[in-house]
Amino acid sequence: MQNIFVWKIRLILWLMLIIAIGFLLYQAAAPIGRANYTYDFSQTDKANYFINKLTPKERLKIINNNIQAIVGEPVYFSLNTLRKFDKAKIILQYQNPDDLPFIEIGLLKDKTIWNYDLKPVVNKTLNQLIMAWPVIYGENGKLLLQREKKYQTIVDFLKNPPTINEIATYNYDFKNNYVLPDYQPTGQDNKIAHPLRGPYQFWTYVKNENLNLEFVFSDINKNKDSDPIELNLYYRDKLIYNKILNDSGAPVDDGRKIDRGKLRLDIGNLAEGAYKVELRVNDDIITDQIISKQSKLSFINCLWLADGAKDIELKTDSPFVSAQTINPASLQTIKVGGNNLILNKTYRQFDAVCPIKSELASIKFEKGDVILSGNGVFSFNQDSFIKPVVKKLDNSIDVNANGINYVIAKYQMPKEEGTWQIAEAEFDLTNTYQEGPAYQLGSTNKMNFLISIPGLNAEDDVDDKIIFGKTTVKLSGRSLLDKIKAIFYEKN
Amino acid sequence: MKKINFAFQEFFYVLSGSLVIFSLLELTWPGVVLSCINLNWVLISWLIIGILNLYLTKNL
Repeated sequence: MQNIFVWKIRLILWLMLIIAIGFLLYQAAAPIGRANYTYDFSQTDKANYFINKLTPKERLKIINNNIQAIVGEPVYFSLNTLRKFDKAKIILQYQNPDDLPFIEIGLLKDKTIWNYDLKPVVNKTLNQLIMAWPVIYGENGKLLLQREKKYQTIVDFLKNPPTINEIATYNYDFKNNYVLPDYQPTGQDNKIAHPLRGPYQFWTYVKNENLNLEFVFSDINKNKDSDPIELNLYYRDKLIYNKILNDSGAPVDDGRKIDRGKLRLDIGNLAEGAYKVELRVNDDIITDQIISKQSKLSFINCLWLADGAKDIELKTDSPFVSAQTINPASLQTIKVGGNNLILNKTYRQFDAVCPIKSELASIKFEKGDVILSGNGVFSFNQDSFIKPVVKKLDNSIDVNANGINYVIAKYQMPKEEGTWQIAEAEFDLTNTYQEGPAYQLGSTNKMNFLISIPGLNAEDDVDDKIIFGKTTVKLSGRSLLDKIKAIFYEKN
Repeated sequence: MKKINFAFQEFFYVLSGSLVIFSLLELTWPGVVLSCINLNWVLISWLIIGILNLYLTKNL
């Protein structure tokens, strides 16, 4: 009798353990290829394995009723998954009491150059234009706004677009056939002798000539990581050439500058058009010189003038310029157009608005080790300026002053739900930066997200904030059945 | 009383087994257990059941 009792208890308990293990494995493997995770960013006392808390703490503040608000930008959070997924749909619930005009959420794609794939949460300029201008809606959230209705469909617009000066885009990859009709190759050497630190991207132009670029590099050994140098060449967003200079030196962080040699590009038989050159390096790498036969060369969005650069003058079409330094010796006043941008604190970004003029704004400063950024391109002289892409419609753009008559975007206005606003963003996870332990059998992955709210500064005296509430991440990928089928079909 | 003692013994064995299995699972597939179960609580339960089990065995 006692034996039966013991066996019954034993059976029940072990069965419960087997069920628990089965449940854990089912949760982790997500055999139907879908998983949903939810976390409330406004509650500080709750923890979630899948969606981690917002960081850094300095940009967060507890307000009334123990609610956490964001007071500075950018803030970050990470998402842990227990298997690989292909897509993530993020549903964000937020309150915007100070009516901040521009919020984006981004997924880290490349850790070397800190490249985030940014998706819209709210774009007030676009919201206002949707109310004021005629709108044509297309598939997958595409929309075309026209100051005066000329095109009947988005396809008509794409087939026969107006000049790129009249167009602005947002969250849309607008492909245009950019040609400079009066361009003539000069064949002369153009030299950028100001040292540049870290990664950058620039546009250049080729017509009946070789693409000829020479880069001279050095390594300042500030961190112990390996410092490979990767140079990528893109034509119409497709990678057409790649060159890598490996770091064969010992991993040291003694701060001694060493020569890292040269990289040369000399490519012929290229079609006429604008080419994008990307340097993928970490912040230890200095480009001491760029010597080019190309007469057009403009840096895209961001440029770090390294320590040692002196009496710098740049031209930009960006409506604003942001500057930051980590070096106390580089604190200075930067002239942006007629305005002064006073850089009086390290590790803090300062902004200046460029005067709205038809010509390019001039940026002048005395000392390097300054990171410049904006919504546009930067060139070292007026003649080398080139911008083969259309303007991005963010909060810095004045649509009327810039003569924008058409906006093409992929955007969905946030929905209202009580006191909350709901926005959705969808990310492709197949080609993204994911961290995971190397020894594991399963595939635990960590992905990093950013929330960008330009203008929200934790260190200013303005009491502005934004509250992010319940956030749901809907993940989708291949089901177990699809994976089995793939093995079967691959074998046959 | 004896029945309770047997039940505690079985519970202790299952908890010991679950600790080993959960730890191995967690080592091979990080997060598979910790995403749902806090192993600290399993360990504390295992200790309490173990102590109670010893107490009951001694006093029977």
